Amino acid sequence: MRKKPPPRTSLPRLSENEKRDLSPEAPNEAERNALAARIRYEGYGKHKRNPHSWNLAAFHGYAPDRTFCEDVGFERADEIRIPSLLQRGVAAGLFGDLYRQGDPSMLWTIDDNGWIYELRQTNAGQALYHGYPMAPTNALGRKVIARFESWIFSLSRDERGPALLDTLRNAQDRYS
Amino acid sequence: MAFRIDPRWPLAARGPVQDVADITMSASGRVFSRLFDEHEGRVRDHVRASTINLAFWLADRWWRLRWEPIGDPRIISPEWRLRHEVSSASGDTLLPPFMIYGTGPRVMVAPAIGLGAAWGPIRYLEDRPVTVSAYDFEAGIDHFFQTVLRVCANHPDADALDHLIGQLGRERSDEELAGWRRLEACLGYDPDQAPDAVIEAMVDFEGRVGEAALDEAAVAAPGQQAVETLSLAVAATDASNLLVDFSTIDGLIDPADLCGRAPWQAAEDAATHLRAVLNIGATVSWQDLGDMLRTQWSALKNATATARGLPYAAMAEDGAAGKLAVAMGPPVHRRFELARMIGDRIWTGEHDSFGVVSRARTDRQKFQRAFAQSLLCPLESLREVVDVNRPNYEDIRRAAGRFMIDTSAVIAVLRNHGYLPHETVSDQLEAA
Repeated sequence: MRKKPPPRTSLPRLSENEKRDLSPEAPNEAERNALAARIRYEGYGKHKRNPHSWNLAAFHGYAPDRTFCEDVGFERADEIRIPSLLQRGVAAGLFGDLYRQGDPSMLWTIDDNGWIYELRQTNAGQALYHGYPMAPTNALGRKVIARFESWIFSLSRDERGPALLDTLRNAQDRYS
Repeated sequence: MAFRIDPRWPLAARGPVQDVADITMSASGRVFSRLFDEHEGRVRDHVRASTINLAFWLADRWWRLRWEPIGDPRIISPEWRLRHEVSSASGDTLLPPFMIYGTGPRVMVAPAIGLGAAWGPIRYLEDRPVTVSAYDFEAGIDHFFQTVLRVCANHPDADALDHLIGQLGRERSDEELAGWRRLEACLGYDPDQAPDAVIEAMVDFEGRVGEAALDEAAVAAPGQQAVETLSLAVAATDASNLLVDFSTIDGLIDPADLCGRAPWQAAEDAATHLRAVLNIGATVSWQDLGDMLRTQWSALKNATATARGLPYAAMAEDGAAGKLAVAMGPPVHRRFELARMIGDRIWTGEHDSFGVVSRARTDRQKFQRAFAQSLLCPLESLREVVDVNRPNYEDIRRAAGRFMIDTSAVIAVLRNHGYLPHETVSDQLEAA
């Protein structure tokens, strides 16, 4: 015989310990526009090999084996492209499935060379995020790419452009 | 313990709030966290990672890690991967790209499928699948949970983790609750995500098919299709006129003797023993199959495939008597299916009232497949047809014709004995 257990209950967790996943459905246009108007980026020294060269404070504490921006070819000079990468991720609806104070606690975006960046809220309610490259072995990459592809094919031919298709193909090559 | 997740907090990691540690992960002595660190220029056995994050990932997914096998390795979904690949636990930490999944009495730890070229400053070095007993897996995870809760007691998420592990523990310790969670996992659902109607409808069949077969049926046809499929399979056995008697084979092999080894090895030993006891010749004729099942061989060959088109064939058992709902029509495939059904009877002893013959990757299904291969195509006889040191496709086809078996089964026998390589991960996982 089998008996249904009581539904699981959960206590609040820090965002880095929550289950990571894309939102079940892509956010609607109003949601994307609302976040696009507010979203900002703030760098975090944890994912920089040389934080001081980025004018960032060094990470304190015992650090995990993690991805670094420099290892995927993202250098200081690329910072200027961050706002457009944020807009790309928001436009493509690459939202996480958990929200804090009205904003998704996680976002993703894809760089022209196919690297996926995962973004986390730095401060809830302020649309302030920091990010890091996602390893090619991470299974979530495939879901991110699938939604990105859906978004690209929802665009008109003029909007699509070869650069976006190259971005998609580069990501498909990079992530298993 | 054969399955270990051992965190160590070096001096630099210690403080009022502890979390990130040097974590060594091993299964049956194989250290699957062994890596080469390009920046440090050395090999080490541990990965530096958040113990709290890893513990949450394992606890959130425990039921599916323990009970949900891999599907077709060629078409693994990201949803499955997110629940079974350790590296998906974190977006920025470079955890080992290994998958963990249950096969019934054992748990598999294997390199994630479809990995591209090695990337990054951390390169994991272990590249082969390994299995541990389910008992060892559970004990290893429990030990890791206890360690993390004790050492990281001051972490902001310690209470949340303790709460989750507590719920998991209560589910595991109650047979009826555990049965529900296990069925959810076998159907491919996270806890509380399966529609109640699906679980309840499946449970309604348990009196008819038994607990073990219900789980096998769930794994064979997971998700929303499970109920209808099982209903059709049961109906197929009711409609079948293929009546057999297992009393010739019952009692020859103790199912307890099949544990603790790779299924193909246990299956080969079982098939060898059965052939010896029943004095079966080099090839298994239709008459031999009829004798084993105490029915007319023509009935076996010509029976209507009442399970045709279903994800699995089935057999209903009542004492020594059985009704077989076969799915295969062509003689070569029908023979293999019947041999699998004999294998299933051996696996379960006389304890089950229903059997499922499917493509699933549980140990029970692997045993069936390997048993059929070894029964119909014993290596000793195969060696008379195929030069095992220089196998070629012509000889393999000739062997398939002689033993009235598919070439894939001949190849499987050769692979299991190392005469042919495992070409794909799927081959490796089938043999593990």
